[in-house]
Amino acid sequence: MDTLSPTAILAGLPTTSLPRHIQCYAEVGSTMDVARAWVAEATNEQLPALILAESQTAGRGRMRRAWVAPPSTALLFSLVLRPHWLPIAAAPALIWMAAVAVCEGIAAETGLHPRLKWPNDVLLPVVSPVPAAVPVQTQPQTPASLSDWRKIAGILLEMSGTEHMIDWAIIGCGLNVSANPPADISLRYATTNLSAALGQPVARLAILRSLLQRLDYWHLQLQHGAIDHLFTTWRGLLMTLGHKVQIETASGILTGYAEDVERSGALRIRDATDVVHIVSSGDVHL
Amino acid sequence: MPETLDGRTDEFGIEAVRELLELIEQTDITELLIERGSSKLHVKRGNAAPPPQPPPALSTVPLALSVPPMSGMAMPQAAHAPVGYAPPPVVSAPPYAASHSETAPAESDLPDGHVITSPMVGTYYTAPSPKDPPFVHEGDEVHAGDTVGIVEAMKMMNEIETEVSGRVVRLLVKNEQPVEYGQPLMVIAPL
Repeated sequence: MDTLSPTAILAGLPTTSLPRHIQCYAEVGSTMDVARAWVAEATNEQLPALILAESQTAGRGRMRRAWVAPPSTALLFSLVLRPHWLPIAAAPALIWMAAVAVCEGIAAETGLHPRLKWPNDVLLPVVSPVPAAVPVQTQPQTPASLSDWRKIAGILLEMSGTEHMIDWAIIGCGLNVSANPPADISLRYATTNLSAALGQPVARLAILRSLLQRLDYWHLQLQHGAIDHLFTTWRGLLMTLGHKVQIETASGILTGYAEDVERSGALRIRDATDVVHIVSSGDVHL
Repeated sequence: MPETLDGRTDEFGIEAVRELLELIEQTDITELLIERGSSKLHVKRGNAAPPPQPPPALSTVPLALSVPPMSGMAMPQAAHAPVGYAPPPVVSAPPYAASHSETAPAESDLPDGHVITSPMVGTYYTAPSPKDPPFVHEGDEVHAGDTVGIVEAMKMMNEIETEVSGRVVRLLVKNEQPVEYGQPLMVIAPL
């Protein structure tokens, strides 16, 4: 089993903007809770900071739904930022940054081609994966049916601020590396893990370091105002687009064709009566 | 061209202005501001021509969304819009789009106090999860920095802090209600 320690994570890591501080835990309730409790006392020099755990007893996703992974089989972390430089209206870019970085980090290390279910669920196709050792010559295989995708990682952003400024933002990520969630956990979607998808063991440390490099890249891009570049990349990874989907929103269930995303990141759905709905939050069902 | 926007002596020569006006005539643009160095050109259509209507089928549901301005970032959106991407129509600004102020023009019967508005489009939640009690009730006393609600969009849970201390005198939105950018959420009366 590979060990996740600050020393191992940082050894020769060619990043410039993050992480500036790392905390590794054997077991916590949730790295999000640890991060939230710590962010008030974090100095600016420590941020962005990475908080990791081998195991969580109360891992959570959107709306505090449970996120469960067997100990030391997943990457469970929170990235803590205080992005005062980012206008609060541009906060969705932090979600895009994390989602794109996870996809690209996995791709760079394994040759797999994760895609995103709007807005930020990371999925892998069930079709036979491209082995990491073989240079990718062709386009990745894409399943015809959306039901042929399985979730490999989830991303969550919790932030706090006034109506004018972001105070802090914490990006949470759970990535299945060598095991799926326990079978007795009732899930709303099909899952897989990196080792299973690749057909060989994958080291968590290598994936994490790859992912941090992509996070660093996009964090710097964002700081330099390249939000359009990030948006375009995120949009290009959305496998939801071009498919008929069902989306569960606070206002009810909507069925239609996922046409595109708005510049805000909201999903544009055209229903059977040709009415276009702009959806900013909800669960997409494939 | 006798005078162009690149003209060294006169940034906005009469010819350039004429060209701009013609361009504006041909489009739906109602207002344009160009800054070059120390020169500024501000063209605004008089008589407040009605804003262009949205395409017939565009969003009439409560999930409607507008794109708030991302001020502070150098993002000339039209110029950088990705290929194949149609920028959201600049139609019907949301009812509260211009109000970052202390009062909400559309809510003239609001009690006096500090109006907390939504920083983004999304879904409003009164509590951290369906199992938890609401952050605040009407009549509660709050302190600056307290979380008073959550606006969620794209799995982004944005906890709204109050900038002022006081008493919650009016809650203006319900749990799980869609909210617009700038929409008043509650009124806090300073104590």
